[in-house]
Amino acid sequence: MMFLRVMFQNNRLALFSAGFVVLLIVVAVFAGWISPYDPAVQDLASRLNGPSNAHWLGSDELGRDVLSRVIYGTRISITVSVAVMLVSFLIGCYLGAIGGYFNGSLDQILNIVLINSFMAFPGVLLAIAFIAFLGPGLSRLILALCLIGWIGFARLARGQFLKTREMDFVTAARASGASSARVILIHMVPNTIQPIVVQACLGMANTILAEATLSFLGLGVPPPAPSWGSMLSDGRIHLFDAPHLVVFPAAAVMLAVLAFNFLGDALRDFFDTRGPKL
Amino acid sequence: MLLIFLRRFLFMGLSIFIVVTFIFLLVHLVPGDPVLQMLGEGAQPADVEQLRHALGLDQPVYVQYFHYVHNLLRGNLGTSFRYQEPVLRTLLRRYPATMELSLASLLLALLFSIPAGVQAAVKSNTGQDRWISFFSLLGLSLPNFALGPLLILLFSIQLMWFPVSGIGGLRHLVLPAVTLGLGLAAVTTRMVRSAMLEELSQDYLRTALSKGLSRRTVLYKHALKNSLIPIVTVVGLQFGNLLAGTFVTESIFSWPGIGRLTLQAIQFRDYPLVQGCILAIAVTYIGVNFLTDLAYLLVDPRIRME
Repeated sequence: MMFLRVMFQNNRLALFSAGFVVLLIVVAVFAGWISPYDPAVQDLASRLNGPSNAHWLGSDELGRDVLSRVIYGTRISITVSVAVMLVSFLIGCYLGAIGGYFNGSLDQILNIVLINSFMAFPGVLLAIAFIAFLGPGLSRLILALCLIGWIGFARLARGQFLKTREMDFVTAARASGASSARVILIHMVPNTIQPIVVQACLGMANTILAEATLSFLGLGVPPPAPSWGSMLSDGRIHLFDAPHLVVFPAAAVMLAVLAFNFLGDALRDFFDTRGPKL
Repeated sequence: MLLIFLRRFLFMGLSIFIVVTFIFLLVHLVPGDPVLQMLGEGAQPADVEQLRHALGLDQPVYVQYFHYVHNLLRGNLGTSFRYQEPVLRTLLRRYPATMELSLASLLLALLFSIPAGVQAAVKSNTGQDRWISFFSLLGLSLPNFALGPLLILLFSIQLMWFPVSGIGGLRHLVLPAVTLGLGLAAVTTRMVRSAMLEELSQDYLRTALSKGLSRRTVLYKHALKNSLIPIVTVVGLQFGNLLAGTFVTESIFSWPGIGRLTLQAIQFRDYPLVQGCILAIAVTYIGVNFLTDLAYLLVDPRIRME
């Protein structure tokens, strides 16, 4: 608890962002209980209604409750982002750690062939190319985003392990007879993990954005599942007569991305040991 | 210097080779039979076989790959099913619109971000700096698919200053360019600020000021010039994001470029056209990265001397 107090001291924005991230997770987990309506139930009698007591954020072109769809959209966004970050983190860190620690021909293959191959494409283009040929769907979306997500972790982990492997405590651990796995897991991971955690937090923001972008383009989760991106795409047609269909999902994406970005910045400042903190 | 150029050029060639291989393999990722996917389940067997033969999918993979690369080198990217014309011709028709939009966004982003970043660094830790930093983070978090419709709502529907969509004169370009360029402007502002902060503590600036040079000259001709390397790197790398952003922006504003063409091709399962579009964007991205590397040679004499 001490580290939370230090981290949020004099940084109200970070505190607010952390609170918002917790709120997003709670909404995603308990969407079924919180949501006032079923997000897929249509009520054509109340189509394109603006915000009212019955529908706090209005209703869409099929009379579906926008608030319920935003709430269920949170579940999709958070599920996709957490899954992508977990898989990318594990694959990227594993490859990066092995490459950085052993620094041999495996590292050359990893760095020159694998990482550079994936970096020859702008990130979202790779995901679009992948989904264009495989077809849309939740698992394919996660797979496509993992394809671009692991690179950042691999590069960062490789750099961290390359730097740390030359340090005295690693030499001491090796000299005392510790196995490579023990040196990596027990000695090096705790000393390299901090920037990777920051990367994961900022990566959550990027993944939420990428998921929403792909859904907006019709390459994400197929309808009728409510994704923030697809809600925005559907709402564009009614920009003249029902702007609330665009404003609320847009605000949801923006606030979620902002919260993870602010939290990532705060974590980076907290882990940065240069200068006084306490 | 020639050696650096050659090394970068070879690396560009390797990247293009990797991209071409990946794009070739994409068709083989299609679940089931790609020919059936293109023609639909009710297609006649004769038509299926004819298309399979036309695409060369009835041959071993290595032969297909050889033919694909051979055709690419001759400028033959296949034939678009939807437009019934060579893919290269369709791409060449749409490419200038995408470049016009991307370059306008880049220009707009630089025009905004350089003075804003310099100002934030000069006034660091003041209210002005905090506002600029806040707005740049806001710009970074506001996705273009949200910004585009909001700009249309405000400036096209409410104020009626700009047209809702389409391509034409300068007025048609403003909203799509702002939508596409905002993210780049936000990243560059942050980069200019941090690069300038590093530079402002250097002794040579104090010397320049004490010699009687104006503050503006010292900031923009001395400090900014020396901060250019990290800025050029970020702008070069971010140009890829700008190109990826054209998918959304062109779709929102019905801009007839390659981004919108790709989405239409995906919708119609026009796989040769999808491959051509992805290749065009990826090669542009690699080309921009190559130019960025060359720009280092111009802005940093130390690299030229290596």
